[in-house]
Amino acid sequence: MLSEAITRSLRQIDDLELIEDPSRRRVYESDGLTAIAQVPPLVALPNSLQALQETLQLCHAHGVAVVARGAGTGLSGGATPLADGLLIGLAKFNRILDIDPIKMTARVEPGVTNLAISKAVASAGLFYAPDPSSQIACTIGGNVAENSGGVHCLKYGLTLHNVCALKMMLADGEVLSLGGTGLWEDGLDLLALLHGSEGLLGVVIEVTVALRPLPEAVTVLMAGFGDTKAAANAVSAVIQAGVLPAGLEMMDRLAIQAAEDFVHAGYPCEAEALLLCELDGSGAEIAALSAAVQAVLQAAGAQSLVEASDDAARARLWLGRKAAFPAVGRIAPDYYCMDGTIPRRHLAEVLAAIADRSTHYELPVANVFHAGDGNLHPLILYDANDSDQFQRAEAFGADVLAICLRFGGTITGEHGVGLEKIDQMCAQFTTLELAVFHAVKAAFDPSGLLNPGKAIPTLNRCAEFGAMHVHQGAAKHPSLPRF
Amino acid sequence: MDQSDALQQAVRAAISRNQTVQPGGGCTKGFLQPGAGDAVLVSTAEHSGILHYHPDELVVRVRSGTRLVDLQATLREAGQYLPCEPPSFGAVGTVGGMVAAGLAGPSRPYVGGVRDYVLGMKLILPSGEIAAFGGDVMKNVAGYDITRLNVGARGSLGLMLEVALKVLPIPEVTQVYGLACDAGLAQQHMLAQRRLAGLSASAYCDGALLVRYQGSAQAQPEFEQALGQGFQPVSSAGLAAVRDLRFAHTGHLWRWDGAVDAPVVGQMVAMDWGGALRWLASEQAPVIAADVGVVTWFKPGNGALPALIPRADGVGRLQQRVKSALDPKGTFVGYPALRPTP
Repeated sequence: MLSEAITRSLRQIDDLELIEDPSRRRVYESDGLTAIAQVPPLVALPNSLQALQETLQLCHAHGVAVVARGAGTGLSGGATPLADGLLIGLAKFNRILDIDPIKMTARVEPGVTNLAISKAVASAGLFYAPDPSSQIACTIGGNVAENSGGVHCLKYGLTLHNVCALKMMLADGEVLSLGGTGLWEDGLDLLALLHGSEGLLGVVIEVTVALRPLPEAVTVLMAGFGDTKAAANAVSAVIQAGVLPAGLEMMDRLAIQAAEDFVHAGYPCEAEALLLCELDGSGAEIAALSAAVQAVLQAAGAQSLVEASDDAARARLWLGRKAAFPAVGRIAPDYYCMDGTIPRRHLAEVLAAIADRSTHYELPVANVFHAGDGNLHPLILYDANDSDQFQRAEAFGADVLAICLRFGGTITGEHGVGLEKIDQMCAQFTTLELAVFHAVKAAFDPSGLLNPGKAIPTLNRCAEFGAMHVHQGAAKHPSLPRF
Repeated sequence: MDQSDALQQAVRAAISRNQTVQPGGGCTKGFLQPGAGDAVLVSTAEHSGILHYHPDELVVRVRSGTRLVDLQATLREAGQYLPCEPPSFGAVGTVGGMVAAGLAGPSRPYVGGVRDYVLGMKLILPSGEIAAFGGDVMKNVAGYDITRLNVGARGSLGLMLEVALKVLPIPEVTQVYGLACDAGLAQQHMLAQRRLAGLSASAYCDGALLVRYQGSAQAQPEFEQALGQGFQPVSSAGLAAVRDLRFAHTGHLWRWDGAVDAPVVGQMVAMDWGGALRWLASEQAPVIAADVGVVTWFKPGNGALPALIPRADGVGRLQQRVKSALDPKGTFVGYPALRPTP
């Protein structure tokens, strides 16, 4: 709860809409990780930077924690409200402030959606490259907070690689501009540090993104393989051949089947694994590039090969991939989307280990994979109304992350830690490394008021988590409702 | 050879004697730490070797003392390269030095800088203990990005032991084209050519605009046609000289970082990054409007060091707080003061 005095003071701030009605507050109870819900005691929607600044200053002065939120599409609970903190919605900051076709940049407010940027600059022949699957809804401020990826990261990088500068407010309302007007600024690279900081270091209030010229020609190849290992080897062969595809995605049999049943993309349902390879470039080079990659895929044992070079055909092939999550959602009441990255050479072993866990927990799993950069999304199918299945799915998910770590990977490639993976942080990092994170947090937010309890576990929490691992059979992290 | 233990002992010895540590490798870029005179140099030069390299995953992990030329040769054999194109100030320059300096070559605006290709790192922290951040994978958002915070930090936050880098396939064709012109015309071309497909460098030095094409053989004619009249194929030597800052200058070398369309100013010896980076030579700090860019000292000339101060803005203060939080006892040298006195 927030004190009545705080609420009264917030009411005094101009250009600040407060949502006090419980049913309207409920809309904000979770982000994309819907199973962790907390109705915020109060929601503030600032309509000007001054209102946002005054809100932060007031909270800072009274020691009130805040969670800043964009569209709430994140999958790890990074924007889950606090029981005793203020939720600040940044949705009203949705203006594109400036598009500079010469410098190829756009300066936008944090609540602008990812796709809105590409749409706004398309007439200038430009696009914004990072394209998380939630791009129609997710905001650029959230993309910075999560360092969001998408299917085109292999060639075009993550959010980090496509942001030139940003403005932020610290917890006390101080405004800082990071990145300068050029491509380098002196001192520690705080611009890089802000990316993926999950709202714990500052509130992003303006983002200058780098735009790229729209490619002249794009083509998509779809290849079916008899087993996932052959498909993984084909990915390696494409890259060994010196090609850098714009996108390189893999799906396993269950994901292929679900997607095909859902959107009828024309996927080969007899295949054990499917590769989608997008190539882009100039009109003069695309045909030769496509022919070269087709030869590589054939040599790697592709059992079927289809090229889609016109817009409609390409859209159809991508539709299956982009609808993979909801498609899987049709074949089970619930699914739990995991997000680990592994060195790709271990893919076959990792998939075998995941299949083993699937048998163990008696829960099916569909795998969708950003194969070019090793980012794996196993989708664990279960029924949340069955508490036993729920617990097995949770344990299965934890095992998947442990498998990723065992093969030299990471517990999160692009969805963030949030609340969801905070315990696994204790497995990926030592106490010493976690202490470094806490030191960074203290430098930015000494009062610990920005999004507390997310992303970086306290050392105490890790001690408890470790102890729980010792006592096998005990329910894991009972304090944390999951999903 | 693995020198981790010896390096850790050296850092711990310095801590116990209250001495400040300046991490170094080949020490070809010592000028980047002008104020580190009495710090103890702890050298990674013997701590070298490629730990693993998987060309089909575009990832290489090396010990920090690995010479850059050795890494580049290994990558070249597999048809790959470091796209950030770091400058060379001598053959003994190391990968750790490249990362600590964070200096990127002419390709910076088109393919990214050093930090865009660093994936993970193991380092000796100011406490003398060893920690690892990031990893060997392209996508990794677990924890704050301590890896990239160390890129360009000039050894102020720790001593790097290992670095994992993303590499890319060498483009099929690389060709530099030159046009003799003045700086004003060069800038006009730079602005007009920013969107050319395959453009990977655009620099101006010694009365010549140098633009580079990297891409497929099929798309090269289009690029040449788009360049227009007057551009001739030239060797890559001129661009390498810009990258390595081989300019004739007696005054101090200053860098200006700012907007590509900011006016050309006097004292400029070269322009790189399509106009976003300008190199200026003068004894005294060049005075340029601050709203379009920032001037910082880079390298000494013949004269005495000019008066320099740390960044005093809010970002500078926050940078200082981060340094103090991560290195409370000042084990490692500070980030140098590079701003001219107003």
